[in-house]
Amino acid sequence: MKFKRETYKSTLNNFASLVCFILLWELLSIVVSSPFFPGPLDVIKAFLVLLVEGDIEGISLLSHITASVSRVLLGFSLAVVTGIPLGLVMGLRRTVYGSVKSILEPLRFIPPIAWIPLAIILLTGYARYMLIIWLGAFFPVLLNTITGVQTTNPVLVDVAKVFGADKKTIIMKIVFSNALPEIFAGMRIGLGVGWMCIVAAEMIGGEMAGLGWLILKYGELLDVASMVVGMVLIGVIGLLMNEAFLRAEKNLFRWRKEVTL
Amino acid sequence: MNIFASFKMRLNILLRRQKFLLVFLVVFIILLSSLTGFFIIWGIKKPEKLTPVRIGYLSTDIHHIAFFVAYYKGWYQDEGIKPIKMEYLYGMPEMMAFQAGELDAGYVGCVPAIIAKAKGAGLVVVASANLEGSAIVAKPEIKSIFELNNKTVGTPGIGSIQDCMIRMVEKKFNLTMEIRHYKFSDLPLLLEKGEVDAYIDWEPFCAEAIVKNIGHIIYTSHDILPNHQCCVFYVSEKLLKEKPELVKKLVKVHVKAMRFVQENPEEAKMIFSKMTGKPLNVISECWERMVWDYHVNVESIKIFIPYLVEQGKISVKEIPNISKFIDSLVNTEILVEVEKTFG
Repeated sequence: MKFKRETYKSTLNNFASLVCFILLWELLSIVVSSPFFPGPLDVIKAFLVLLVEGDIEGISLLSHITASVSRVLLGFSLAVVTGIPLGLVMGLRRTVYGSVKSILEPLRFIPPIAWIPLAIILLTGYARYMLIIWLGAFFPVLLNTITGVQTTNPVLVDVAKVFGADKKTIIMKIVFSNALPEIFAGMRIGLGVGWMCIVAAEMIGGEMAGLGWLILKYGELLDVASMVVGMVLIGVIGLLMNEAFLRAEKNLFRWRKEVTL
Repeated sequence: MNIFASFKMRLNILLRRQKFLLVFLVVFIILLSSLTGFFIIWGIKKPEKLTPVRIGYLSTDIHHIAFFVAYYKGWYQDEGIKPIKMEYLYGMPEMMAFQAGELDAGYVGCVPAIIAKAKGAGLVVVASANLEGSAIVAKPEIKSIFELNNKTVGTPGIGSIQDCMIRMVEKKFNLTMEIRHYKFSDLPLLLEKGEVDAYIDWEPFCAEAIVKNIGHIIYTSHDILPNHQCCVFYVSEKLLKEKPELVKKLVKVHVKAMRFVQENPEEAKMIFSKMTGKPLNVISECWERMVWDYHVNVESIKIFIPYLVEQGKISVKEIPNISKFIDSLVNTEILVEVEKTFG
């Protein structure tokens, strides 16, 4: 009952802040009064035009959304599939991480957008998008997995050993389970970074559909309202995915006590 | 020594260290503030004798050769102008920067200029930078424009004049092309990789494909619309209104550079090659397709506008009257004045 009341309160507060934000935005757009600073009403109009008619080249909004979501999910999945096993190995065997740190750490600091020229030269089609998004999403997943593994309470491992658990059981039932909340947090961050990379990835050009591409296309036509539609859609889809992750986390890690003040 | 004495000694050491750290921090902050203050005062420049003017142009675009020549020769300084180079990758980012107040003048394609003006940008075209100068480059096995039906054609961006022209070709010959947009400098590479069957681009990026034997030209922008306006030299409305004498000097430098390009092609090619790193053989390959005329071809701009409306890039609401729009976009009064001084 208390939980439902809190959720209801939180939803109401969020709705109120959203309304305030929109009102402020509309007020600011009236004050600025420029075709290059559209208000929320202009953006809604542009959204409806895109929804009904598609973009300037006849590509539907749904195609743009599907294209971007599929690219992000593919790149993100690759990041998870590579990041978690690698993170487990590096977390369990510190010498492995120590040995590849000189390669891994510099790579981590190179922004995904810097890889675009190489992506164009070396890869084609979907592989290019996946590379850019993978580069963004991989490192949060990897590093959080390593941290999660390394923060496993050694007492738990000792207790398991005392009760005769083998290495495989210790890794899967103790280390991995302990690391899961951190891994999930890393996945959530990685997904966010993956979405941030979509505009950079779609700058490569070629495929005509994609939310990032929509933003760039309308940027070239100085149609700011339609650009903002693309940005808002990225934000909303990102929010929905994030919420889905949080729900999954809450269900999976019910045993974890949340600290509240 | 008992525990209490030992603890007291350790505490005293810690406090002495902390005092030391505190003193070090204070001295460091004072030094840093002084240095910062020094650099700020040093950085405040004395009033310059030269008037700074921020001039936009496109990276390695031969259409803007007048700017490269004038800059190289120091002709801006001769007129009391300090040119501040503002380089962009293609037209629309330059127009966005102009709209944000980052530029006073510049060189850009006429289509980005039209789109920006239609959206409310306060620019005025005062002279032409070049006419024509683009081409459709295709794979060797594609011999004519008609073979582009159902083929993939790359353009350097939806807001470019080249994109407008390829769609004009589509309509003219009743073709259906799969048009894709890429970065202008990637198009020769994409043709080589087979990702596009052809592309339309501005020089020297068509010449590059020819010199590297990647493709060949099947149609030029002259074939699409003879003597069409391509790149223009523009200034901000504000600059024209507040400092018309400065604009006159800018136009004078532009005309001087254009006449130099017309009369000294070999030296002009060398200057462009030096300033951009483009090989001379590439520049020479595209030279014949360039028309170095500083007079604005207004008629071709009038032809572009309905196509841009049809292509959805501007709306009828934005340009209800083409003639009035052209009058607000193009102002060659200063050019006429300047030309008289050249005889």
